[in-house]
Amino acid sequence: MLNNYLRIGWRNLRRYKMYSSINIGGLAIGLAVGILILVWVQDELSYDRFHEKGDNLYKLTVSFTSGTDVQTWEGMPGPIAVHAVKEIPGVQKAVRTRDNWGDISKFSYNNNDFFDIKTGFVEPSFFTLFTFPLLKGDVQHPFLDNTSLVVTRSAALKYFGTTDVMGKVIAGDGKNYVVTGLMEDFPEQSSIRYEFMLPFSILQAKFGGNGSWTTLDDDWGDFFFTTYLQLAPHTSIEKVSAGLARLRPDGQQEAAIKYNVQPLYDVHLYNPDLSEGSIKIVRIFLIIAIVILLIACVNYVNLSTARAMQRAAEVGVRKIVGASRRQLFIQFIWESVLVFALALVLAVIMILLLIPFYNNLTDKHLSFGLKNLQMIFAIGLSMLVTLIVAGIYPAVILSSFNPLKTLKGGLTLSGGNVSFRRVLVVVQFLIATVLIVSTLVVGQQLRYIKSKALGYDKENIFSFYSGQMYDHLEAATQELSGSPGIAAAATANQSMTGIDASTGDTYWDGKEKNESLIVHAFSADKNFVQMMKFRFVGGQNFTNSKADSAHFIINETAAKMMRMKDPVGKKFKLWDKDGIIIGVIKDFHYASLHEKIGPLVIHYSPVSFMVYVKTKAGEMDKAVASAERLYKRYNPGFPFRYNFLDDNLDKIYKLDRRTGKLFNYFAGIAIFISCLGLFGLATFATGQRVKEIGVRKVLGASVTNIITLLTSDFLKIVMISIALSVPLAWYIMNKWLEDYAYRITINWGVFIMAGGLAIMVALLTVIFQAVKAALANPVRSLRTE
Amino acid sequence: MIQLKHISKHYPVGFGKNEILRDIDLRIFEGEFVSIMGPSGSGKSTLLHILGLLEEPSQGEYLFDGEPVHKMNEKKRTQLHRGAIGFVFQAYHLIDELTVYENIETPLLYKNMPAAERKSRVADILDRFNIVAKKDLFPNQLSGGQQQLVGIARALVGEPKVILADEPTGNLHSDQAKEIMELFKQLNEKDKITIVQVTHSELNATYGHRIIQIRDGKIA
Repeated sequence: MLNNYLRIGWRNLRRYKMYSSINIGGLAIGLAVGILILVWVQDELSYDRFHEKGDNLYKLTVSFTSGTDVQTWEGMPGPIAVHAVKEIPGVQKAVRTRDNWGDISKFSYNNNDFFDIKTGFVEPSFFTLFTFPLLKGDVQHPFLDNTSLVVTRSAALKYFGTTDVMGKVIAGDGKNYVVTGLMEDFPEQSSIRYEFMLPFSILQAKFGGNGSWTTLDDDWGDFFFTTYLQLAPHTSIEKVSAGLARLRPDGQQEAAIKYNVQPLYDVHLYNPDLSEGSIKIVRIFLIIAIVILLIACVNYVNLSTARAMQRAAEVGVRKIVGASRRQLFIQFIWESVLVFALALVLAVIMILLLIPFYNNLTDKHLSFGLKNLQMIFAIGLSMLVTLIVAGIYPAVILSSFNPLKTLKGGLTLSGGNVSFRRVLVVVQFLIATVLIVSTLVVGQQLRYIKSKALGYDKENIFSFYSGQMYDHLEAATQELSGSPGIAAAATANQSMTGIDASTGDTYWDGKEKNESLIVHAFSADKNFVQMMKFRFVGGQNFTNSKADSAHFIINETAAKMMRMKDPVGKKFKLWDKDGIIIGVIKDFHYASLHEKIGPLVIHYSPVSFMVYVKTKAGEMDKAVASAERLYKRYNPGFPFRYNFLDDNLDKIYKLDRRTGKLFNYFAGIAIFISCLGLFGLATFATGQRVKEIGVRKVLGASVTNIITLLTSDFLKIVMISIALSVPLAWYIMNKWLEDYAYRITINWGVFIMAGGLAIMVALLTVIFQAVKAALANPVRSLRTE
Repeated sequence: MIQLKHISKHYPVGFGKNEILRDIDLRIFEGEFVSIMGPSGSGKSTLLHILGLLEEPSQGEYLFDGEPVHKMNEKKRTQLHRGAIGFVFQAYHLIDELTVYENIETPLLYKNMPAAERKSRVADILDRFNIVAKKDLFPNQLSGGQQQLVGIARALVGEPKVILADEPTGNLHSDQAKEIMELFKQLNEKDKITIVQVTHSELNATYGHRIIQIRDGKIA
């Protein structure tokens, strides 16, 4: 029986080649894209899920509030972890880590120097709290002393050339470290990643004191250490958070400070302040995957029910020779299964071809193999759901035909059926139009980001860390500014694309008692302010004189927040630096456009550790070579690393651009599949009206009349879709834009353009069939009836 | 075997109704060969469709083998289509995508007959109708007469008690028609199959035992 069903299904597919290729092709594309997105979503959701104790692991962050400005840091003071375990009920264990912040800048092994080994200082509990198994070494005592080192397998291979590394010695800035542990590589989906792990006790031993605090475990002042807690099951996170705020022994407690206890599982998808991060994108793409599968399903349903007309006679005969409705239903379900199986094979081939490209696009290392359970799961699920959604309706329709009517040949799909199909097409084009609008809006926003005046000059400027050059920086910058290719040189202590150092330690004329101001602060010299071409609205630049050490330049937002009408000359205090404001500059973007410009203070320092170089136009290479020569003189053996400002700017919008690109692709695919469906429907619709067209032509209708007749029906459907898409797309895109503090407003042009595009594509799809039908000889079409 | 009591059939047309059959009383006995005749639009096809359970009468009772058909549910009716009633159509109505063999096999599939038995039954009937050589051809590769032969073979393979034929020779030229009618006669006489045919042709009608004339929805 099954054999028979499949055989007929296969013959039907072969006989109606165009129908079959549209149907299978559309499904395959939908499935391939749907599966790819689902795999990506699955990958994103699986971050940090591999820890055996993961359910009870949390990461701490801390938020400071000042006015409406909230800043969140991921570093904790050292004592938090120690005291939390001792004093807060439910906190069982803790582990502290800290990245290598230049503590060790160079590792040397076998006469090879390595500068960029990702190194972290971790407490021994790192290996027991987390599921990071050691291949060699003792999990309980991974480090013997402060010269011990644990390496990952890949790092062992990369730097030692072997995994037989136990006992091997590597030098770090001249000190020797002995490998005492070999760790399995961090899983791809780990938010914690290192190559080398050194004992945290190195940092404790090195601690030089901070005010009255004498050990790292007492120092409440420096928020340096990433801290993870293991809580007892069912511990209240709010209570732990409140407990953390009471730990500080001197009772000093700023009301505006709040400790956040973030589940480890959330670290990848949520921001440190617990707000939604990339989970939003995951959600958007999950929806897009479902939507694309839905479009493919709609196609299948539409084409199958349209085709049902041609299968009607067969259904009638089968019923008369004894087929029950159930048997027919099963037959058509099997035919759907056959089509789906073929589509799946095609989809798998597409995925295999697309995966390298897709990995590149998404910046992941997804692989496609049958070993991959996630992949099988994603495929199985999407298959099953689409089959159920798409297979049942046509099977019900087909098996329900009245045999007598089908044999008389007078069967036309009833009104309800036809309008159902129209609704489906409306849904398809609605989705497609929303996606077109989204693509246009995303594109506009990305262009806006690129072209928005940032408030400073970003052209031809690169920066680098001074390193050992710092001790001679004044002379070095002097020399630099006269070197070939270089127009100017300056120093500052922050990156222009992310001035994230900030402090609430401020005082100013007219400050009220309860008032506080957290400002972004960085140090720079006169040349820097000049080089960036900050626009002064009042006062002036530093002069590079002694007096500058008590001078501040603030931005307009800072002036506004301090309620200063005429800030120049007013007193201002930053940390213990008392001085006056000598200049007010226009606001400039010191971070991505996602963030609002906050208050900012530039304080004077004759030299800071970051060197900025402006090149002469067209002499970039020469300028870089000059800077490198100088850098190498002070930092022999170290590689010269520099970044151009506009490259950095590009980098901070990488995710935005990737989202935009993915949107383009998905919209294109959705439109393509929708058009396949429309094309199929147009073919059937004109096929059914052959006789009508013949009669009309005999009665004197022109070719144009016929084409108008045939296309206007579809155009109406597309118009309805467009009308419905406007509010939907507007709502969705406004939501998306909310993520940007600086954004475009959606204008009508976008909708007109998207609508026009949808109409054009639909017309192109339909018109081919219409013209063919209109040009056909009426005598022939009437004879065949 | 077949008994119709006061059968009427009408369709609603506008505010009124269009009466096709009016108060038909009819008995057909087992082993009979009956021809239904009448002008176009007289209602003879509708009568045949009612006999074949393809249409429901608006009023009246229909007993098949003593069982009231008008009270049957869809499942029971399907059972009758599978076992008791075979159809032959003017336009043959073979399934285009199936070969001759598969077309004949189809009714047996729906009876859930084991494969081996199916095979021997289809082989028997191919043999008997002399179309073994054509078993792998598709309907559009056959002449009209051959197609109708396959149609009859298909109707017969399920071993029905009655064959209902709706102008079985309407699309055939006279030689082929004669062949088909001879076949019907043979089936009726040798295999004791009850046959009810609708026909326009006086000649064809003579093959049967009895002629029922229908005029304006009534048995004349």
